[in-house]
Amino acid sequence: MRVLLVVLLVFGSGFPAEAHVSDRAFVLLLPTHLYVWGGALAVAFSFAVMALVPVAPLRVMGRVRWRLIRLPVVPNIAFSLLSLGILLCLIIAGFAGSRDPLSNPLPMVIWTLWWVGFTLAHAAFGNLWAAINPWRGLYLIVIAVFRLDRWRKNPLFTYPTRLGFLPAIILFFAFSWFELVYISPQDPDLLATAVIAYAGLTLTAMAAFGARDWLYYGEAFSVFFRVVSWLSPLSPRPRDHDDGDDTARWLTLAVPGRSLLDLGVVRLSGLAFIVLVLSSVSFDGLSRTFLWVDLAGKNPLEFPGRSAVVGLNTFGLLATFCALLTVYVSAVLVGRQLGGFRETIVESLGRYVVSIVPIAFGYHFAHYLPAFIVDGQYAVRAASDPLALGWNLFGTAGMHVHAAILSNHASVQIVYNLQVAGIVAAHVMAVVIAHVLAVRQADTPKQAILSQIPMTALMIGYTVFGLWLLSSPTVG
Amino acid sequence: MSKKIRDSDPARGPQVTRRGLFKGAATVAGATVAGGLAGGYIPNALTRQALAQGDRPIKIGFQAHRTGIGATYGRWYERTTRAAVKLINESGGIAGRQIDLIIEDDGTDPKRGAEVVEKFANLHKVDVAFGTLFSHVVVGSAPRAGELKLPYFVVSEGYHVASGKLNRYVFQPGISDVRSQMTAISGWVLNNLGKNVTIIYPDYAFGYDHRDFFGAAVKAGGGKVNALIPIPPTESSFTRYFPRIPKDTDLLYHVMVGPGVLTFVKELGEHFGSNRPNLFGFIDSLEGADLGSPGLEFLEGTHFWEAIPRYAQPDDTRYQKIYRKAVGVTDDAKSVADAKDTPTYSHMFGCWETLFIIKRMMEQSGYRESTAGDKANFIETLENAHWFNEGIEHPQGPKQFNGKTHQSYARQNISKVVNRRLTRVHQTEIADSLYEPEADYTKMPL
Repeated sequence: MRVLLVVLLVFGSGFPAEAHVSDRAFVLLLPTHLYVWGGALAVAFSFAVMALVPVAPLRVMGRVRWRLIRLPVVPNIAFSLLSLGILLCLIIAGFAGSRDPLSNPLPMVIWTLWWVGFTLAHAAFGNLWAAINPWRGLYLIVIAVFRLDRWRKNPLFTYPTRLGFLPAIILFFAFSWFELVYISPQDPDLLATAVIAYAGLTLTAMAAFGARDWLYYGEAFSVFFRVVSWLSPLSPRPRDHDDGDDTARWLTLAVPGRSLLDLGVVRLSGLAFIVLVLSSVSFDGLSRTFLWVDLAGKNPLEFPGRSAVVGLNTFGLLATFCALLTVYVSAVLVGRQLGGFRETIVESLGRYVVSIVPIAFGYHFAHYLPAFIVDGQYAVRAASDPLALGWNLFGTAGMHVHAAILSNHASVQIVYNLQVAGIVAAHVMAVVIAHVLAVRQADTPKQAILSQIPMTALMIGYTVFGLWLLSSPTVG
Repeated sequence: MSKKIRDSDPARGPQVTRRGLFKGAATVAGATVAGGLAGGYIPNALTRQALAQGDRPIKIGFQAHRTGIGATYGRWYERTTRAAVKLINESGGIAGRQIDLIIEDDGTDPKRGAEVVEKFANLHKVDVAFGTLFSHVVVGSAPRAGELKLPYFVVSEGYHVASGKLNRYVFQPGISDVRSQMTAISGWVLNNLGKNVTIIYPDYAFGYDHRDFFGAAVKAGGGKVNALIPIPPTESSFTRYFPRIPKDTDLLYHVMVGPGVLTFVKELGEHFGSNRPNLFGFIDSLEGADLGSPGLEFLEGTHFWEAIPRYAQPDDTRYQKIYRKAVGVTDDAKSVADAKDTPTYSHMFGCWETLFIIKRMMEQSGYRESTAGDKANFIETLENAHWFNEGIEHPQGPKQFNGKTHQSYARQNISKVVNRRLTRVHQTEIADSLYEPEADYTKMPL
């Protein structure tokens, strides 16, 4: 052994950066190629079924809407004030609570319960954010305190509607960049500061342009949650305003995604927003793959961390948006030619973009599911001791977080199957919606089918891409 | 700078805290309070004074990989750290002062790591910082600790500390480095598992270290390297590389890491069937992974390095038993709270041992405040330490500490997979792991 002692080597790397067995290690043991091609076949098959079955039953099914209960008259402002109070508590916790992002309620609530869980809730229950966003309450308090009631009735400026959803697009891109590219979005201090900044910006814009217009056009999350809520089988009727109207309404039940069929033509800025939502979550998946990290010139087995790829990932986030926009526009343009549509290009682009909404949601579900399962537990644990004072408000302070769900073969397989089901179901739904919309526009069923061939090819391609993202080795 | 020890004679310290530690351990782990510590924990007289004074807590910054690629390790590092802090605090704290643990997430990112070090020093004003694991984060963070003169304890097993690349304020006393681990085990591996060796390794610096060092060890030990098979880091299927393994290979040395590791083992099994060479690897490849996982059947009968046996062994010391209970791990290497959760057992003990070394050195040096003088005393006291006895504070085993390289050396274990469990078949001596030191941090100014 003494011979060995004189061997002088410099161990440059030491502990390897990828020295752990992640959930992807177990996913890679699965026959993922069968899932990928099976998913693609399922989407293709759904198109074939659409082409063969008569459209009339679909139309009938689409029209059906059952009244469930009459919604009680509760002023939305009460909910808004309540959520404002909760947000204030979270901000305080962000500054005063634990520095550990997994023990501080602010990052856990914002990134896990709200951004992931609340989005899922919108697809199930409709536009909750319209009723409970804290901005309206904040706005009314400021108006009341500073006696600015005249601003409420006559905002300083009229919102330039020609801008459409441009402010929401810019803000949503900034949010995505903060979440996906910035090096420490979970840091409680930074996040609390970011929330305050966003609240300040929202309040200012509401004062300037009026609450109704800003929440409709400019507030990124009002637009985002409204888009997601189109998928919900539940919606309040007859009135379905997004401004939190206090009028009592009926809660109705319809086929999921039914609301997408009522939208008509979405304006171009709305189209861009929907594409941005899908491209952001897609890029989050892509940017973690070994393929992307390798393209970035980094060794995925010693991934140097977010700070090394800020510039590249900023470009990637933008490039994914541009690429997806190009592919979508191309599919619609070719489809118009094949189907011989008489409407304008802008109308066609705005009409079929709603079929992307279920895909965006499917990606959101599949992409965030593993993190939601684990971080949701951290959120519950953090709630018991929000200020790191040793409290145990809900008896969950010492709760063991079952993170092994993602490092155990059986549970990883269940999670993976749920993710695949989410992606495939979303694309099938997209095919159905695009087909129903095409049938409305086309003169003959044949034209409708022809017009949807490019879009279906896009759906199949995106299914393969999505399932490949879920099945590829990733960093972290 | 001259060393100022406030305590007149550390060896005459009171026994109350020693008992307190055992009592705390008994509370935490249900252990029997019996006799004194075999370990070298010798509190000084300051303990009683400070207890009476009710001083401010000792602030320890825990730089944790809570997010990013290190999160799996970070989770068990956090659990182990909390268990150690609980035991220390219940046993009277550090010189009677409670530990106030401040956790900051570095996102497993070196730049963020340096920012966290700054926050520890300037915002939280911690007394010491500890806990960094991943080498690239250590290398990115440690220089800032040196600039800010913040004592910084890494739990990484990287060679970066002992190599002399870092600075006077950086220590790794709670876990051995990878070079010493390989130095320790290579003799036994060659003599017992075969001398015709094929090394299969990821094609980058980490793999090169294993290739070069183990390759050199094979030659020095009279063996022969039959083949070197580098695997590109982006590879997720390995079947096409296996035909390059020569048929007369006795020992296949593998150091694969990353998400492809289970596939690697599965495909290796499909390639060889029952007629395979001996296999030896580092448990780093499978930290946090259940050996009962599908695809790992092929590992039956193969050997791994372990720092501390993941599965309870018949000859475990009572310190190991106390430690295992305190960190909530069953004899079958599962979390007590979750039968599916496998710990990163060969690394996380380093957090435990590091915290007890911080405690002991603070007490021995008479550390009170985060002043230049107290920090200098603290660092010099640690640099003058040579040995940490096996005990509750050091369940992995005794540590030989080199004050010049700021690195501890320890016994290493070689375990064999038997019935999908790791069973220790050999334990090295500390002397087996020593190499010629290449650094002397004590020459750097404080």
